Amino acid sequence: MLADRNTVVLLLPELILVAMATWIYVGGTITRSRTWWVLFALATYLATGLILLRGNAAAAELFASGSLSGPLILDPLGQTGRVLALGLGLLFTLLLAKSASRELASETCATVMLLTVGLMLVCRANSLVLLFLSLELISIPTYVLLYLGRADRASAEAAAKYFFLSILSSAMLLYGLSFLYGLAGVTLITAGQSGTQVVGIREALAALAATPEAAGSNVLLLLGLVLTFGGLAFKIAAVPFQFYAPDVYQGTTNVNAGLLATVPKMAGVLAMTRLLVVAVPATFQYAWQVMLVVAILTMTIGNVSALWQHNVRRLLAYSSIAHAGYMLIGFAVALAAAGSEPAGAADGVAAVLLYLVVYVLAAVGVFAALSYLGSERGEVNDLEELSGLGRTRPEIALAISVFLFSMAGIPPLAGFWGKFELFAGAVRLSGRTDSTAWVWFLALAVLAALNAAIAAAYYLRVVGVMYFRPPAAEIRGSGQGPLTAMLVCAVLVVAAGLLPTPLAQTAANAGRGLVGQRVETPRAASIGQREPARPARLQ
Amino acid sequence: MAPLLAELTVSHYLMVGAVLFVAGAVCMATKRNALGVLMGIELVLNGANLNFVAFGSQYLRPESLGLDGQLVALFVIVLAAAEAAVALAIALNFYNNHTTIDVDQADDLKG
Repeated sequence: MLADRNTVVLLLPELILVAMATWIYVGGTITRSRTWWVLFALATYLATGLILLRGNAAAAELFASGSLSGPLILDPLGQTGRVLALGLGLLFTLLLAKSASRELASETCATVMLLTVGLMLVCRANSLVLLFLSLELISIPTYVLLYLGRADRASAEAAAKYFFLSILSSAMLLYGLSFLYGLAGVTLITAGQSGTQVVGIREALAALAATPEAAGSNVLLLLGLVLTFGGLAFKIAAVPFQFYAPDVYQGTTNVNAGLLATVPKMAGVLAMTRLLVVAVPATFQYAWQVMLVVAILTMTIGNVSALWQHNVRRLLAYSSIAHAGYMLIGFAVALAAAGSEPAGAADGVAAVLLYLVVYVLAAVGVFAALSYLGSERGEVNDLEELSGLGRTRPEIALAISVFLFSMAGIPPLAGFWGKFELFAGAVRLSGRTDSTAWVWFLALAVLAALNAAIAAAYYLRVVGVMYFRPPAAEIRGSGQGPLTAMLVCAVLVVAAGLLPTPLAQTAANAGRGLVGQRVETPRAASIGQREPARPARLQ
Repeated sequence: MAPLLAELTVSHYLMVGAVLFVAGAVCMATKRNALGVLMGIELVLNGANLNFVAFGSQYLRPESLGLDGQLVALFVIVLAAAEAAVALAIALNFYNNHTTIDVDQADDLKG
C-alpha cells in the first residue's frame, strides 16, 4: 500500500489543492484565459472547502477521543486555521481576477494555491520538520509571486530584497530549531492528550527543566529560542526584522502587498504559538521579557514611522508592523502566565488569534479596495490619488474607512474587540502577578493604548484625504473580483464588530485546546531518568 | 599530545556548525555580488544542517537511532536546491532591470 488510509483522509484537502495546482500549471499551456483559470481555481477552493468542512467534524471526534497524535495535530486551532487559510486563498484568487498578468494567469493562480496549502499545513504542523517545510511552502511561492508581479526596476528590487532577507530568516529559524531538537531529542512538538508513550518537545523540555542540569541547558535553550524568534519575527515583520516591509510593499503590486501583509503574518503567528507558547517549558524565565520589549519597540516604531508616509503601501506596511507589535502583547501575556496559571496563557493566545483574524480581514479588505481602484495604466500609489474619493466613489471610500477604523480599533468594528482583548489581558495580568512583573505589564498596557492613539492619527489622515479634499484625478475603478472580495471583508468586519461572541468563542476554544492543560508529569519523569548522561557530552 | 588524542564529542561538531553559520551570515552581509550572497545562504543552511545531524548522533543519545536529525538535513538539502533555482531567476530578473547583480544598486526604494 502506498500510503496509510488515515494519512490520506487527514490530508485530503491539501492533496487535492496540490494536484489541482499542478494541473493549472500544466493547463496554462492549453489556454491562457485569465477568467477561465480564476474560475477554475475558485471552483477548486469551494469544492475543497466542502470536503474540508466534512472532514473537520470527523477530525474533531478523533481529537476529542485523544487517539491521534503525530506530525499533524487535530486541535481546534489547526482545524479553524485551515478553514481560514482556505478562505484567504479564495479571497486572493478573487483579487487575481483583475491583477494577474494576462500571459501568466494560470501560473499566478496555481502559485497562490500552493501558498494556501502551505498555510493550511502550518496551522496543523506538530513537528519541526513539517512546520519548517510548510513555512517554506509559503515562502517560495511568495518569492515567485513577487517575481511575477510586475516587470520593472522597483519590482525586481523588492523581490531581491525580500528573497535574501527571507532566506536568512529561514536559516536562522532552522538553526534555532536545531537547538530545540538537540535539547529535546525529538522533532514532535507536543504529544497532545494522547495516552501513549509518545513524547514531544513540550514534555521533554519540561522534564529537562526539572533535572539538575537545567541551568546548563538553559543557555542552549535561550540561544535556540532567540534564533527561532528572530526567524519568525521576520515573517510577522517585528523589530528588529521589520525594515524590509516598507520597501518591499512599496516596490510590488497592491495584491502582492496584501499577500505579504497577511499570509506570512498568519503563518508566523501560528508558528510562534506552536514553537514558543506550546513547546517552551512554563518555568523558563526569559521568554516573556524578550517578547514584551519587542512588542513595545515594534508597535512604537511602526506607528511613529507611519505618521509621515505618503505612499499608501508604505503607510500600510508600517501599520502592519505596528499590528505585529500588538499581537506580541498577547504572546508576552501568555508566556508570563504560563508558569502560574495555564488558563491565563490560554487567554493570551486566544486574544492573539482573535486579533489576527480581525487584522487579516481588514488588511485584505484595504488591499482589495486599492486593487479595485487601480487601472491598466497604473496602480494607486500615492495617498493623494485617493483625494476626493468620498465624492467620486462614495461606496469604496466608505469601505476603506470601515477597514481603517477597524484597524484603528474604533468601536463597534471588529478591530475594537481585538485590541480590547489584548489590552485587557495585559491589565488583568498586572493585577494578578505578585512579583515586579506587574509594573511591566501595566506599562505595556499604557504604551499600547498610547500607540493606538498615534495609529488613529494616520488612519484618520487617510480618511480625511478621501472625504475633505477636492477630487484630484478621475479614479474609475473596475473588476468584479476585487469588488467582491472587498464587500465580503467589509461585511465580515462589520458583522464581527456587532456580534463578536462567536469569533471570540472560537478563539478561546483554540487557545484552550492548545495550552489549557498543564503537562502531566508521570510520562515526563520517565524521560528525566535518562537525562544525566547527556550534559557531560555537551561540555 | 593530549589535546590531539582527546575524545571527539558532539560539541566539536556544534562548533563547526556555528562557524559555518556565522561565516555564512557574514558572507551575506558583506558580499555585494548576488551570487556571493547566494553562497552565504548555502553556508548558513549547511551550518544548521550540521547541527541537526550532530544532535541526532548516537554519541549524544545512545538509545536513539538519530534518524530525525538526518531526515531534517535531507529535507533541507532539497529545499536549498529549490531555493537556489528561484534565487537564480530573481538574480537574472534583477540583472535585466539593473544591468548588474551588485545588490548595493538596489537602493531605489526608501523613504
